[in-house]
Amino acid sequence: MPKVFNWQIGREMEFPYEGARPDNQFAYIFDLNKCIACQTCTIACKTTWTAGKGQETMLWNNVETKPYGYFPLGWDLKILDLLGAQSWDGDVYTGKTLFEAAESDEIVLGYLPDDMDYANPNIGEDDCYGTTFKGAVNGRSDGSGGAYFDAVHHSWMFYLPRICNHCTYPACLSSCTRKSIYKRKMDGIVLIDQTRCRGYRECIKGCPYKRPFYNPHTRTSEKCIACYPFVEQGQQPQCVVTCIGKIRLSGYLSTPEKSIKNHPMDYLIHEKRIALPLYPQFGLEPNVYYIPPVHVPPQFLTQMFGPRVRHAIETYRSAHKDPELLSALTLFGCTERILKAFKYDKSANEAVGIDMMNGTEVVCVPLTEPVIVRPLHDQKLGAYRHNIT
Amino acid sequence: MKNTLFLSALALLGLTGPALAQTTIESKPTRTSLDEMLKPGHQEWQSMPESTIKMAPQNIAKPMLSKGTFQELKVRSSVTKNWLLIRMEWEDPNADAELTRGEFSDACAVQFCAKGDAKDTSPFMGNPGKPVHILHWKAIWQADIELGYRDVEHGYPNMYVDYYPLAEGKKTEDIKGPALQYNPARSLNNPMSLTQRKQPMEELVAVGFGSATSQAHLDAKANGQHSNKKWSVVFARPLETPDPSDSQLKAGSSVPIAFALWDGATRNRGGRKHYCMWQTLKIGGTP
Repeated sequence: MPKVFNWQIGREMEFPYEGARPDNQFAYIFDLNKCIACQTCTIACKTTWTAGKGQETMLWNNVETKPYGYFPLGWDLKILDLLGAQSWDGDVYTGKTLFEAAESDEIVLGYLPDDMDYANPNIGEDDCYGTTFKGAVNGRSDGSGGAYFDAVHHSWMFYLPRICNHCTYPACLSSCTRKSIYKRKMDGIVLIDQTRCRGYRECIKGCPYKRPFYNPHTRTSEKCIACYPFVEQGQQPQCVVTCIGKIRLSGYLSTPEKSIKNHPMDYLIHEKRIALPLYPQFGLEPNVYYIPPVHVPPQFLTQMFGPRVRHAIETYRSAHKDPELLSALTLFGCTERILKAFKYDKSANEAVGIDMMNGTEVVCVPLTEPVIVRPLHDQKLGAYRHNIT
Repeated sequence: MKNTLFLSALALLGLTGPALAQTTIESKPTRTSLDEMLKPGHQEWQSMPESTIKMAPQNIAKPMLSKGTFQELKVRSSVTKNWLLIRMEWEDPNADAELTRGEFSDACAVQFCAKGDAKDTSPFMGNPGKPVHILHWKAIWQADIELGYRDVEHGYPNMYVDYYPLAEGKKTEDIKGPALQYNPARSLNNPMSLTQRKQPMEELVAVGFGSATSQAHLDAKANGQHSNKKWSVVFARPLETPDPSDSQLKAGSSVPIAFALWDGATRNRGGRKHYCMWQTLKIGGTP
């Protein structure tokens, strides 16, 4: 089997095809410190792409709560269980990827979810870790702690929005025996060819993130298309643009050795290393990156985002001292346009974004929100200002 | 590359002994009408000699079946003035004809050499330059025709949906025109998405693993039924067709023929199937 280099796991690995990186890779960053699970992204995607017959239970974008939520049911627990405990040596993954761990009959290690696994997308929503433990609070494991809510910081949960990761080494593409799934050379977007798909669902079985979905009306499989008609016009996808919390940024990502410092994606992922891939140990080199939630125990986060979690959290916590980093973060959700560069305008204390397609300055965002103090009595109007609560 | 694979696979299979040895299937002429012969239970089929073909789980190209559920296939064949008929019968306790809730459909197929012969055409879906011509039946399509297209509401009888954008209603037949924006597979005429099939089968051409492509024009017919824990399916195809990608057959000749079976209950689909080597079909009738 051919060997390809996967920079997220710091080594070469086996892959069914000769490695061929796209000319450009479209990628995303989601800031998990800001997601409030309003599901606007979910609805935006559904209205745009999956409102048709057969697509009723499809959520190409979904937002689940961690640790007890999943869509489909237990998707990550099941594949982690199949893979078994594995290890890292610093930044190099010494365990097996899903390709390396495949059984002898199979191309990639995977499983086909049951139909009912898709029936409860909101399971575990808002369920915190640590609230219901009886006695296991403040170190009292003898039961004397009682079932009550103690120190806030023992409990945690966070929201995890997920879309197709448009992986560099997709398991869906590898699983399809008909080569009905392809990765575009121009932007690395992975698509299922709706003329060639015969609904075998090998892609669903293979993808560890369970992002392809079966459509019983057309009897083919479908998945997130990265809103490619928008991307081709230099616009960010629907889920990015409609995000109320401005937690998402998308754009083109270079490989680490070709990182361009003033590219917002390259800067955050390669230079600052504040955004990390989801389950890099699977070996697919996913292109949706996450800024880890700073309030969650790093031990839990390391399994999800790899060994650089602590560094990412430290960097994020000190962002207020770093205007350039703050500029990059401030540009999330501020423009529909895909940016090719950003800069910190010191004199104006603003983040500036430059449009990828025409190179113009397309957005300026102040790093500090302007504050205006108005007097209690407005002389011109002859009225008093009151707080309305 | 494919030829090497073919030859090494042949060598590999030789080790399994007589299990996959060639059988000659005799196809005797009949005067019974085509429509009657398309009924697998028709009396006339009993006077056609029965051949037993050993079926093996596909274990050449990943993903493979290491263990199959079907061991044998019974084949009978007949020929009318213009049509070749193949009757396949195999034991399968469950009739799997659903696709709405993540199931897989039972299916079977017959394969002919479209250009070459058994010596140069791989029995494993053909090879580049030496295509195979396949007749493929699926239980779900039989159910679609006999009982109506198995759509979402068939799998979820209590489902509710408020509306489908741009559709005139919620039923299968209401999803047309601009509503098909949400179903590109249908607007692109993907053969898997045909909601108004006339035959429970398709004809395919293939030149190796993963290349099978549905033909736009269907010349053949099929009919299947499940009873006494067995499937019996009759394929009927014109001996000669105007389609250049079809195999052309003549009365009085012998041609290579192969078969495949899929067990929906054990999630057979695509390459996860049961197959056999080339057998010989001796077509009766006056040339």
